[in-house]
Amino acid sequence: MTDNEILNLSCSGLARAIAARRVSAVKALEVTLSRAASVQPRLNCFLRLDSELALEAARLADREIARGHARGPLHGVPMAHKDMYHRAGVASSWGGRIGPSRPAPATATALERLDSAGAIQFGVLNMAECAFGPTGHNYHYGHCRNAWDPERITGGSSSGSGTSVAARANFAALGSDTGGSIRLPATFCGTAGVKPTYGRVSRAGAMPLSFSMDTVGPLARTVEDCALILGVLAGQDARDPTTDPRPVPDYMAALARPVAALTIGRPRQYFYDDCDAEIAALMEASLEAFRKLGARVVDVDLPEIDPWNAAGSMIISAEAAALHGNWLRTRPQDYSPQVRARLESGLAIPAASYIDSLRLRGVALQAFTRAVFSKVDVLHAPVVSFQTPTIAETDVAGGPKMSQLLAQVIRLTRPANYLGVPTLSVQAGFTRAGMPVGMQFLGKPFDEATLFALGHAFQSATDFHSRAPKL
Amino acid sequence: MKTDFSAELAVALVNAQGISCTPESAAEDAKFAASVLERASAAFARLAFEDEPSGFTAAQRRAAP
Repeated sequence: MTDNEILNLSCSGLARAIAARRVSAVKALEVTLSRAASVQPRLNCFLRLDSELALEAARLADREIARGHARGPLHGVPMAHKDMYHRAGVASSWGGRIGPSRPAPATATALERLDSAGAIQFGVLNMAECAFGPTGHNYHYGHCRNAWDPERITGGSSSGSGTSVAARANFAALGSDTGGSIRLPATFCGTAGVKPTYGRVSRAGAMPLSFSMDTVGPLARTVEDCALILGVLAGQDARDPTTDPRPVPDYMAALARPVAALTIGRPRQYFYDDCDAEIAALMEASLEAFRKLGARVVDVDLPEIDPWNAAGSMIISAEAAALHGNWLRTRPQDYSPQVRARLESGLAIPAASYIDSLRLRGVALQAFTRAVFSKVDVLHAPVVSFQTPTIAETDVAGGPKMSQLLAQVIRLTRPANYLGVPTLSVQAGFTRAGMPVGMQFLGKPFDEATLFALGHAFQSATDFHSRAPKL
Repeated sequence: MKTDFSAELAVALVNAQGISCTPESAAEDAKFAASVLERASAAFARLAFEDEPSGFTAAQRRAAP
């Protein structure tokens, strides 16, 4: 296989090629490391490459394959992750200066599960400082740049995850999603990404931002890879008491489910307010593709979403301010102005309003379920309502324009975090300017399988996901 | 509900928690707090006396397929 053929494989394709000894784990890693080094000056997506450790792991993976043993479905697949997943003996950066000054005592459950499945971690990725920024700006390590146009934002906070995967410099990456941080980089960079149901994936050993809203999930080039990786990550974990005990479905088997029996909802309210015309047209084209696949598309009325977004903002701000309180008191200069300002705003939220925001959450989920999931299997919507802006246009630091910009970027993603529902982002097409645009499917709690079936059917009928940026 | 959340109040709240802030950042804090409190206030007013945070987990279980 040529280097390009290897780099364009999906995770599942590469794992199959390694198992069949059509390519070695060492070769796959070497071409990935070489690609990573070549795109880094343009994209600034890696914070560290662990080449030697990864090569050692790849050699072991090849010896295991030679003995007829594959650890799991990701055996030999190189991956780098957002630098907020702790590995024993290593200090994570959290994308800034605040954070663990000492090596982590234990490895994050998500990393442990990927290790057990055979994945090989070869580095860590740029991210928004403390995962508290939706654009991909980073004032400590430099802004992360979009593989489709390095002048444009990647989205955040999983900025390096989105652009490294899109650039074929990484096969898949862990992101985290508290207000849209998996789906925003997935849409701006043209990858798939899944924000699982709150409680589906353990957060143990991952940097917390808002313990009520944080979720852990993958970004990958195909929905099939997202399904494969979520199957590895999901399930109860004694180290995270918020994880749900229900069994994890076979997400890979779900990919084969026919979509003809499914009903897709198109929201009448909120999600298309002030939506860019090209994005709206791409959403309609994607719905037409689903109609051709036999799915039914119906319009649905939503309850009022904005109060839920406000309540979600209060929860994230108040919890983040509490988590960072000691550092805000003792090391305020170690934050960038933007992150310090956002954290400070959480200190002004009254305790009773924070608690009301939590009390409202169950009521909101019930209302949303009644309005949406009593009529349709999933809700289909754009991820953002505007085209990918440039890094310069969105460089607002901590100034007065910051709140307005942040509210606009996360407006369509935060509702799913507040409701805790699973959401899959899939590329729906390209704008005339050549930038990818994503759609999102919101599903019933713990029904990631239906989202994967729809996303996979779309990718089987289109080729947007297989197009690569020219770098 | 119109929320009267002034920059002076934001300064007092932030300082009371041992954190210093500038007049500019306090003005932004006040604007943020006023905005989210106003937008959520009607929904909060409709909450039943019995509604509590654990209602979210219960709603998740009920809505799961």
